[in-house]
Amino acid sequence: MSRKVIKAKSGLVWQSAWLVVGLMISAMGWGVEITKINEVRQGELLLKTENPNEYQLAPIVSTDAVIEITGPIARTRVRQQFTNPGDSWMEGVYAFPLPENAAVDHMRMVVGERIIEGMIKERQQAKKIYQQAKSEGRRASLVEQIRPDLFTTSVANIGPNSTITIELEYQELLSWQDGQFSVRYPMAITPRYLPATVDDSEIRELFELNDGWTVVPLANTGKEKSKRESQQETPRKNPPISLTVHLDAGFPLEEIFSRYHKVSTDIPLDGGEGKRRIRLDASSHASDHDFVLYWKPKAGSAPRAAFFTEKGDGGDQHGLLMVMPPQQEALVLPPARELIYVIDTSGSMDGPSMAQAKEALRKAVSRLTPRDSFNIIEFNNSASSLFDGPERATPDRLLIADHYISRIESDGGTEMMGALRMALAPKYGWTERGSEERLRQVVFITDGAVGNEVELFRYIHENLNGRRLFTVGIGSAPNSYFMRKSAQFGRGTFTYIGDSDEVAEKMDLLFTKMEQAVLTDLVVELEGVEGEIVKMLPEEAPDLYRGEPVVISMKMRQTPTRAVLRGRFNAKPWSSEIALKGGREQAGLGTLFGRRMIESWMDRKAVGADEDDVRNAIIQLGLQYHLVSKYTSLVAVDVTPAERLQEIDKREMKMNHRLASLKLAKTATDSEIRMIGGALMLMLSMLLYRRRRVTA
Amino acid sequence: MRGRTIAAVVLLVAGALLFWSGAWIQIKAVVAQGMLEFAWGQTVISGKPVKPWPWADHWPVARIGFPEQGEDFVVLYGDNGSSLAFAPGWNIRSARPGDEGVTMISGHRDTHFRLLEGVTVGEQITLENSRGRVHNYKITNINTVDYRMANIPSNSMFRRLVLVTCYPFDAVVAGGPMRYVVTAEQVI
Repeated sequence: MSRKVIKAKSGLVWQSAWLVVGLMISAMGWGVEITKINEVRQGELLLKTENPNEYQLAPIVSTDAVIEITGPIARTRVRQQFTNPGDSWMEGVYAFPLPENAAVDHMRMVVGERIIEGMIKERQQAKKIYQQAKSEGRRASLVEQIRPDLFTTSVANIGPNSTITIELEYQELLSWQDGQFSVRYPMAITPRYLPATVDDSEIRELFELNDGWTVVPLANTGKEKSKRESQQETPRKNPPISLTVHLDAGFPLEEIFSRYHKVSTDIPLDGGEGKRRIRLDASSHASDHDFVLYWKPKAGSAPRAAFFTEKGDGGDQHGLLMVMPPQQEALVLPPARELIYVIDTSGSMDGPSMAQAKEALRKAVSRLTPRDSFNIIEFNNSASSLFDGPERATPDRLLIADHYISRIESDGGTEMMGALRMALAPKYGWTERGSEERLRQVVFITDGAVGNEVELFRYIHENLNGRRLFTVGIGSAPNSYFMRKSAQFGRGTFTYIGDSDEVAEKMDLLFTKMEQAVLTDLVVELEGVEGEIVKMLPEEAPDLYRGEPVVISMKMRQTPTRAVLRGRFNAKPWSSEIALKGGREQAGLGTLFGRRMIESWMDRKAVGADEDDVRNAIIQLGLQYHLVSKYTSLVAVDVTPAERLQEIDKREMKMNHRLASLKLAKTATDSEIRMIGGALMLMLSMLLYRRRRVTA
Repeated sequence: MRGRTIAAVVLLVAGALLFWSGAWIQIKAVVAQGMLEFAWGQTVISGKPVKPWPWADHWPVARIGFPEQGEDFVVLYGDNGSSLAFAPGWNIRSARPGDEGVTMISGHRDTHFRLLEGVTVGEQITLENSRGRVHNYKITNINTVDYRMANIPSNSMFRRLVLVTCYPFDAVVAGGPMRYVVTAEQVI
C-alpha cells in the first residue's frame, strides 16, 4: 500500500523535475518574445505586405557626410547606407535635399568589397539601364535630380539582411557675404519639405515610378503615412546622420560658429592657421533647421579679391574671380528711391507667417525718407493697393500706411500674377524730373506658394524695366527655389526669414543693402587674352549690394593678366583693376563652371528658350562635366547578378566580420539560472526529506 | 525508504553546489574588481601590464567610469569568458582604449554591465588608459542588435566607445542572440 504511495510521490518528483525544465524552456521562450517586441520599438518602419498580418521592414538609410572646404569651394561626400532588415530582396528609394547650387558629380556603389563607379548618362537612358539591371537581379543604383535642390537615390536588389552603401559627392561655391563665409547642409527631415513646398505631382510621380519600397524622408507628412498604411509606427527617429566639416579657410580665423546646431570644434594635428575640424553634436539634432556654419577672417586678413585657376584637359583652363567692392565709400548720400512693397495675404500665410510679414513690412516702411516715394500692394485672390500710384513718403502718408498694414488679414488663394502686373506696371514708374537717378525697387514678401513659376519668371524678366525685385521668404517653409530665382530674374536678392526672432535683424540687413545699392551696371573685362576667352559667367552681372562680392566663373585658353571692373558705384561711374598674376591652383573650378552653365541654360528655358535646344545643351554639359542635372543622371550597375552572388556574399560577410566589423562577445553568464536551479533542487530535497519523515 | 533518503541527500548536495556555482560568479565579479583596482594603480604608475594575481591570464588595460551611475570598473585585456568573469573586457581587435578609432568593451549583463540598462543618451562616460590619461565620452546612441547580423564598423576618424552586453537584461537563460549596444562619442 505504502509502495503505491511512494510511486505516486516519485511521480510527483518527476513532475517537479519536468516543471523545472519546463520553467527553463518557457523562460527561454519568454526571452525571445521580449526581443521581438523590442525590435518593433526601435522605430523601424513596417510596411504592409499583401497578406493582412504580415509586415515587412523598410530599408534603413543612415547618412554620413563629410564636408571638405578648401579656398572658395566646398566638396561634400555623403555616404548613404541602405540596410535591408528583412528576409527578402528589396529596392530602396531615398529622396533627400541638397543645397540649391550643388553640383553632384560622383556616385559610387559599395557592395561588400566591390566598388562600382557611377557613370553619367542621359536621364532616360540611365533609367533604362537601372530598370534592366533591376529586372535581371543585379545590384544597381541611380541618382536623379528631381529639382535643383531635391535628389533621389534608388538602389535595386538589396539582399536580405545586407547593406549597400552609396557614396555621393557634390561640390558647391561657398557663400561670401557681409565679411563672412558660410556653408549649408540640408538636414534630411525638415518641415521645409512638407507638401506646401514640395511639388505634389513630383513626389507622386516618384512613388509611381518605383514599385519597390520607398523611403522618402517626408515621414512627417500625414498624407504619406496613410499612403503607406504603415502600422504600429512608433514616433520615428530621425535617420541617423553624422556630419563633419574639414575647414581649410586659407586665412586666419576670427570666429567660427554654427547657426542652429551644437557642434564641437578642434584644430587638427596638421592644423595651420585657418584649419579646423567641426563635428555636429549628435545629441542636439535640430531637424527643423538646415546645418549652417559661418566663419570670419581675422580683422586685417580679410580677402579683398581672389583669383583661382584650374588646368583642364586639352589646354582649356577654368578660373574663378572674386572681388569684394570697397565698403567704406558708401557714406555718400544714397540716391532717392521708389519703393513698391508687395505683401502676400493669402490663406497659406495665416498665423505666424502673417505676423512676421506685417512686422517686416512695418520695418520697411519706417525706414523711408521724405525723398523716397512708395506704395503698398496686397494680394490674395486679387490685388489691391494703398495708393493709386507711388506717393512721396511724407509723415502723414506713413501714418496712413501704418493703419493700412494693421488692417491686413490673410485669407483666400495666391494669385501672384495680378500683384506683379500692378507692381511692374509702367504707370507706376516715376514720372517726375530726374527719374533716371532714382532707384526703383520692388520688395515682395511671400511664402511663395505658387504653381505657375515659369510664367511668373518670364513676366518678371520681360517687364523689369530697370527695376530691381527683392524677395523676402517668410515662414518655416517658403518655396526658396522660386524666390531665389525670381530675385535673380528681378536682379535683386532673396532673403529668407525662418524664425520670428530673425525678422528685425534680417530686414535691417536687407534694407541697409537696398539703401546702398553699391554697384550697378557692372561690366567685367579681362585683359591679356584678347579673343581667346571662351566664356564668362554670369553673362549679365547682377547689381552688387553692400557686403556682396563679384563672383565670376570662366573658361579660357590662357590666364588673363588683368581684370577691369566697370560700373556705377552709388550712381557714379566707377572702375577697378585687378592684377591676376599668381592665381592659386584650385580643384573643382571646371565643375563649378559646368554647373553654372547648366543653370544659365535652365534660366533661358524659364524665359522661353526652345525646350529641345536647352535639353541638348544641358545633356552635353552634363556628360562633359560629369554632372547630374534635369536631363542627366548617374547610374551604377554591378555586373554580377545578385542572386548568383549569394554564396560569395556569405563568405564576404564572414570576411567582413573579421576585417571591418567587430565581433560581439558572449556577455551573459548562467549565474542566475544556476542559482535558481540550485535553489529549486534544495527545495525538492527538503520536500523529500520531510516526506520521508512523514512516511516513517 | 533508503532510496528516497539518498535522493534527498544527492539533491541537497547538487542543489547547494549548483547554487554556489551561480553565486560564485557574482562574488567573483565583485571581489575581482577590488583586486584589479590595485593592479590598475600599479599599471598606471609603471606603465607596464600588471597581472592582478599570479596565475591570471589577463591584465587591466583601462578603467571605465559612469559618473551618473556612480560606478567604475577596471577593464581587462580580451573579451572572452575567462576575462569577463572578473571585469568588462576590451575587444583586442578594436582600437586601444583612448586611441582614435572604435574601442569596444563588453561586459556581462548580469554582473558589471547590468548598469547599462539604466544609462541614457547624453550621459557621460570616462575612460582612463594605461598612461593615466582620461578621455570623456558622451552616449549618443543605444540600440539592440542581433549579433549574427550586427555590423559594427571597426574604423572611425574619431574616438568612439562601443559598450556591449547581452539583451534582454532579465532573460534567465544565457546565450541569446541579442546584444545591447551603447555607443558613445568623444567629447572634446
